[in-house]
Amino acid sequence: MKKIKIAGLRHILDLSQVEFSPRPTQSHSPAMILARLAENGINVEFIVAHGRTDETMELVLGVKRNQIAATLGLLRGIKEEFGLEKVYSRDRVGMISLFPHGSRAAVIGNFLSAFRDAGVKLLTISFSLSAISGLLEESRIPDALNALSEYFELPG
Amino acid sequence: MGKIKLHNIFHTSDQALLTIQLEERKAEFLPSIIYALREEGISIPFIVQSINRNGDFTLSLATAQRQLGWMRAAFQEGLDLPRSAPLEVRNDVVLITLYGPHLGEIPGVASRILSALAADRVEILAMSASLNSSLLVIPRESLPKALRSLNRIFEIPAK
Repeated sequence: MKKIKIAGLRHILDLSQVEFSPRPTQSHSPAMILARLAENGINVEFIVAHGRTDETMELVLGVKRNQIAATLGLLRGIKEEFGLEKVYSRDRVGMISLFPHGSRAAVIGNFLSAFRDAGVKLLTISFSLSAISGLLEESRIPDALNALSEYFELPG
Repeated sequence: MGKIKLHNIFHTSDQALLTIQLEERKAEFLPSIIYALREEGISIPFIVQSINRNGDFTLSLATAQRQLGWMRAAFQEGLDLPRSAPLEVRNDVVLITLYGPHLGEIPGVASRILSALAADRVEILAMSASLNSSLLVIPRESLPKALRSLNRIFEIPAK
């Protein structure tokens, strides 16, 4: 199999993942919730939002592990106000970001194949202009990086 | 509050957004579907996926409107979905890309984007943000309003 050349690969440790979905009647809720986090100095490293047909928005955030207690405390404090039925969190999460040169469909296919081959569950995938990022269990990062090296060629 | 400096902002029109909710075991078929899309020359300018507590996953992808039929068929067949499968399509959407750099290092960027768009009643169909850029999917008819909203919070250098 021919490896795809990429511009870079990096990983971040010490993250936690938080998931919640504000109630549909509060269309401004996601913005207001994120504003509360920002006001309290909580930086969100990673965001994925899916709108649903019932007008709710499912939000998945990645925050630094040392800010997860503050994040959860804050979200639990505003649960009633924003109709957050459940707030889930997952600790010991890491993020791998892959920086492709182009040919995105091929890159996404290889990215997913590598995780599948390694038996590593991708908790969340996000796409940005220059990178494909995935959240995964932190302990599986070495396995995922090994598997990615079978599909991608790093510069140098 | 000052404007946030942005390297660039651009939008891609004539897109469609496909959202699929599936059991986790179906995730193993995704790479081959994505490869099939590549073979057909179908690009995917936006993709986000998340897994909920029950192990079910939600996948949202944007593609050019003209390629929607092919993409829909690829997922329908590749995942062996019944015709009644939970496959949602939103036509006539626009993908807006905000490129930092360093957006990920500034607390509050996402909340300002969402607040500005919510204040102008722009519906956000999907969003992704990490590292140095943020991608938004919105209905086509909201594009002029959305660009005005975003220009209120971002400073974009003149070309």
